[in-house]
Parts: sequence; structure tokens; C-alpha cells
Amino acid sequence: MTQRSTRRSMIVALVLSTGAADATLVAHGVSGKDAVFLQGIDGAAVGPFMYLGAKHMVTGYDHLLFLCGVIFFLYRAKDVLVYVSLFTLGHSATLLLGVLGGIKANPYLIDAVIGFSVVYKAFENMEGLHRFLPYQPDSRLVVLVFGLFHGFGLATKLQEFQLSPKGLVVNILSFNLGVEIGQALALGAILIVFSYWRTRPGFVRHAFATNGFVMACGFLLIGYQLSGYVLLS
Amino acid sequence: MLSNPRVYTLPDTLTNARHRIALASGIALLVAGLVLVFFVLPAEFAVDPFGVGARTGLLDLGVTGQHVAALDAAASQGGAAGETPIIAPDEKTVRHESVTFSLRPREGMEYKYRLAKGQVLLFTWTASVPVNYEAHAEPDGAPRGYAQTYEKGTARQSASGTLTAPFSGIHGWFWENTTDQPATVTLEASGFYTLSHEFRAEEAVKTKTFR
Repeated sequence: MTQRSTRRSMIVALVLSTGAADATLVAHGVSGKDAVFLQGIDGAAVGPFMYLGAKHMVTGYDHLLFLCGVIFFLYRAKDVLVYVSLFTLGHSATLLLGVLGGIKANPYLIDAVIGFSVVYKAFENMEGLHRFLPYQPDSRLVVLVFGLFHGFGLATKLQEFQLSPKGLVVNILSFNLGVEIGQALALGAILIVFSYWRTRPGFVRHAFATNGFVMACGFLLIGYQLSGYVLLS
Repeated sequence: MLSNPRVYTLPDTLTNARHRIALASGIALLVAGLVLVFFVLPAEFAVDPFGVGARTGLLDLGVTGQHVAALDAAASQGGAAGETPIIAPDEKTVRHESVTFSLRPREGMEYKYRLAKGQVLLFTWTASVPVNYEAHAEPDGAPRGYAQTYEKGTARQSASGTLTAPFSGIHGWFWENTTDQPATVTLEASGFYTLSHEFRAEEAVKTKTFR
């Protein structure tokens, strides 16, 4: 036994002994000071909830990676609108139903599924589905289903806080509206970058490698969340 | 916008071969796995299977993070009923003090007592003007700058209660005079504390010993 392996087992013991650690510290969720605010609210607070919803979306790298994957090969504004609307429909449904119905799941497992949605979309963009599957799932339906998981993840994280039942419906609707505003802002920025990039000859050449990179990020998200599930929950 | 959109449902537009997609996916998985075990596991969970975290210093980040998480968990469980014995004997005699602090306009200050885990402090404080306050503690051996907040309030002129220390450390208040006039805060506190510290910005810490 080397010194290092002794130390390693000590650290594993430390991690196991802190097994009850607050999941919100590790999961990508609402930051500490915002969490304190959320728990202090007693009644409707439209502005703050809208702001926090928008902030969550704009700073949520998992949602942004998935959106990038979704619009990667959508050249027409109409297609962008259809796919993004389906994603919005999906995540709004589970966000509202999840919080108002008190339904939650393990946040690590939900976030691992969200990581998988990134991998899936990148694989689809690399033509992997066409090459490896005998039939093609409707990519619109897939976006809707992954939207359900993204919203459920959001609902699970919001429920880690002791939200006051007073004004809850208004607050969750405000949060949801904020999420859509944040998504519109983020999508605007992504589309500006993509519409420029698509005019460059490098786009087609680098599209494959870029999706490979996005896929690696998705795998990393899965690994990170599953580690959290195994080590902390 | 380009004129030739790629549509997912048309297989004849495919340009990538199976082995190329499989290879790229495999590389993506491998890279993600390496980043995970070399960097993310040590920095986030203090797990360092290959010793890379120890060499790069990322392990310290993870150990501190886990330490803070454990302290937070201890603090949130510390107030639970049934854990405090009805009579907790103490070898010291009870201390009592009444102390008045002057706060300049817009000034904030902190006053904290050293309490061992489970010790109780009975307190009342009153302020001459409405002040912002925060009751909090710094656990012994906590990472620098770590503080556990118990309670916060704005524009309050008094508060009373008991504080049961969820861990050994210094426990007390931050008060802030938000007005443009001088103010005073008077604190009365009883307990088995041995030390108190007074913190003000740009001043040396004043420490009092109670015998």
C-alpha cells in the first residue's frame, strides 16, 4: 500500500461521511444567495421569479448545449420556430405540473438524462441515427420528449427549496415566463453566431467535429451527474 | 441562409461513414471520461483515482467543497428538536454581560461569542435606529471566509431569543447602521462563553476574555 492509496481511501471515507451533503451545492441549480431569497418569499413576486427563470436559462450550459444541437442544421426560421416551440411546450408542461403537483425525482438522475439529450442530439447531427438505426425516430417528437425532462429537472430543483404555497402558481408561471425570455435571448445570440458561421466555408467542414465536441460535453455532463448520484445521494 | 437545407429525413444527403461516426463518438466518450476522472471528480467530489487532482491542486478544491457541504448539512440538522439534552451540565459558571456599541453613519460591525457545540446563548439586543442584521457563525476549522448564516433581517430595532450552537466556533451578529446618523446597539447575553470578538472594518479585532 502506497501513501497515495491510503490518502485516497481517507478521501473516499470523507466523501462517504458527508453523504448527506446538500444536493443544491453540486447540481447545477439556483445559486446560494438566490436560494436564500426564494425561501424567504411569502406571496407573489413576479419580477424576481421571472428574473431567476431567465438567469437559469441563460447560465444553464446543459439547456444551451441542447439548444445548439437542436438548431444546428435548422436553416429555416420556420423550422427553428417549430422545434423551439416543441421544446418550450415540453419543459413548460413538466415545470408547471412538477412543482404544482409536488412531483420530483433525483436531481442527479434527471440531469444525467439532460446530458444524454445533448449526446443524442449531437449523434443525430453526426448522422449517427441514419447510419446505425433501422428506422428514424421523428426528431420533433424527440425534442418534445427531451423538453419534458428539461422541465422536470427544473421542477425538481425548484422543489428543493421550501417555497411558500402563497402565490405559488403566480410565482411558477412567472419563473416559466422568465425561462422563455431567457431562452429567447440565448437563442437569439446562438442564431446570430450560427447564421454568420453558416456563411463561412468552414461550417460544413467543422460541423462534424463541432458535434463531436458537443457530444463529449454531453458525456461529461452524464459522468458528472452520475458521479454525484453515486457519491452524494 | 443557405439555399440547400439538410433535411433529417432524406438519407441520400448523408456524407459521414459509419466508422467515422463510431470513431468520433468513441473519442468523445474517451475525452469526456478522461476530463471526468482527471479534473471533475477531484475538484467536485474530492475523488482522485489517478492522483492528478493532488498534483494540480484541484483536490484541495474538492476537499474544501465537501467540507463546506458537510458543515451546511450539520447546521441544517443542528436545530432539530430532541438532540439537545434537557439539562446540559457545564463546568464553568454562567456569564452575563450588557455591552453597548456605537455605530457611525453607514457603519457595520460584528460581535461574536466563542461557543462549544450544543451550548446555548440567551440574548436580547436593541438598537437606537432600525438596523440591518444577520446572525451567523464561523465553525472551528472551517475554510477561510466560510460563515453559516442563521437569520437575517432588515430595519429591525430589537431581537431576543436563544441560540444553540450547531458546532463549535464563534457565533454572533453583524449589525449595519443604514442611516446617516450615529446609532448604538446594546446587547445583553448570557451563556457559558469564554471569549468574544468585535470586528470592524479596518480595525484590529478586539477580543474579550470572560473568567
